Amino acid sequence: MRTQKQRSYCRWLLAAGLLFVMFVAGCASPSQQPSQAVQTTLARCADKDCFISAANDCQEINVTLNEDVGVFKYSSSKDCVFTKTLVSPNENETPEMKKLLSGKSFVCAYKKGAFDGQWVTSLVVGIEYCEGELKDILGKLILFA
Amino acid sequence: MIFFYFLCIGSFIFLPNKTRVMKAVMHFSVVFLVYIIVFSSLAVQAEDFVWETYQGATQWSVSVTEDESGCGGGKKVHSIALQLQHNQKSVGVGNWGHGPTKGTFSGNTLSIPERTIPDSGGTSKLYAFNVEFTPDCSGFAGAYRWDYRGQGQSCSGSTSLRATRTDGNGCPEEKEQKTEVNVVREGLDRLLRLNKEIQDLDRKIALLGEEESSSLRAELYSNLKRKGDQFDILRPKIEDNYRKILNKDPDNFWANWDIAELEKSRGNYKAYFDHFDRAVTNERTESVSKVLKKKAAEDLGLSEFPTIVGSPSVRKISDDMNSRQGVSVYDVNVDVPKEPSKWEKFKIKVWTAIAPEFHNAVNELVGVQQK
Repeated sequence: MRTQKQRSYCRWLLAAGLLFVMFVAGCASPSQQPSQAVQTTLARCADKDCFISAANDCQEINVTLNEDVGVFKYSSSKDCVFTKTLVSPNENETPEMKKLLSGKSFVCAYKKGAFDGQWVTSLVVGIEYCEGELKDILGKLILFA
Repeated sequence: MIFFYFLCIGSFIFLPNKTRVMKAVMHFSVVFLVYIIVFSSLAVQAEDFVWETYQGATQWSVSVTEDESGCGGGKKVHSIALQLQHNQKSVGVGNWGHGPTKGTFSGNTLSIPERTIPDSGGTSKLYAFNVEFTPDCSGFAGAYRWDYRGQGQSCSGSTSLRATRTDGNGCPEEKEQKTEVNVVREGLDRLLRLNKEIQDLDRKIALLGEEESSSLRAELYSNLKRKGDQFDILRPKIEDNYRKILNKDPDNFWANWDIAELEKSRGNYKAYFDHFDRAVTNERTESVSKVLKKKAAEDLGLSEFPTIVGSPSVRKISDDMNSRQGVSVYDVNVDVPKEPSKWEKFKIKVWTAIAPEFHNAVNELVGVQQK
């Protein structure tokens, strides 16, 4: 039969063991601090100006904005490629126009420091340097403006 | 008629006694069939021609009948040689006795507006009238009433015109111009294809990695040089051919349109816009705009034209362009016109600069054969 002293000793031993296990588990788990090699570079923006600035720096960023024409998604990548997608057109477009425009996008390559903000602020200005279905459609829609 | 013809052939072959009547009937039907085939095809060609798209001069012999019986005179008929100077819808009409005037074509109907002219010590008010041109381009006819006031007299009469064309048979020169440009266009198509092949080769070479074999690299460079040399030999010949057409007719639509495409393919956007402006004159804008919009709507799968009122996208495009003094396209400034009458041409100009395939689109629209 254990004495009270022995029982107290066991409790301390158990507590120390648990502490040790927790210490070892904490040291073995992946670090919460990102390493240099896998550092996350995804920038965050909530408006056009912020996006334009980030894209100009060829940062990897996505922004989705609700505008008069519809919901646009703007993306830029580390290799300085900009993508503009009309996710969903304005509800007031005709069914044919909605079907035509939904999900269409164009892509524009540029040099760092030379991002054309008009790709974001305008529908058609500067798109001659871009490629994609959305460019072709918007180009034709100019005739009806 | 064709059935009758074959009936005659059959009877001629199978009847044992070839009667004179049967022979005569067969000969007549052969002649009649040839007549129908030849003149039907001419009529089909002529139906395709619309005077409101023509540019150039035509010559006519006009029989003018003046009915002055309301003014105490009688009917007088005289013939006169008349020239029409066509600038698509707008036409300058020579003097058939009441002074030169201008008219406007709609299809093959020329509308002459009302005017007042000095006449024998007084004035004559000539009422507006239409002149109808025949589908085979061989003649026209029209008549108008007039009111004379002068020398203590006022009376009314009429003048009728009946004309036959004297400078050619069939519908006139625009088809010949197009044919001349079509011959040159074969060379242009080759040149544009070469240009595209050169650009593709450039791109392939640019994408070559370090690890790509030197033989592949050498082959690509060799192809590029060969095509570049062919381009350098062909280009001045093609340009020279078009310059010859433009020297005779500086506003020739097709020559300017094609040279515009050539300049665009070389990245010379300033020259592209200059030739575009000469090709798409103000008079041509409406007809060009009409066909381009129709084609664009078809390509987009739209059953009706979208409008600024009905489409937020189209409205935004319009606002984008209207809010600026100029729009930069390939770093060349294109002024945004203040006059609404120039807006259509501006839109066509911007779209054709952006659209890679507009040249072929226009060719398709007007039925120009492509190789």
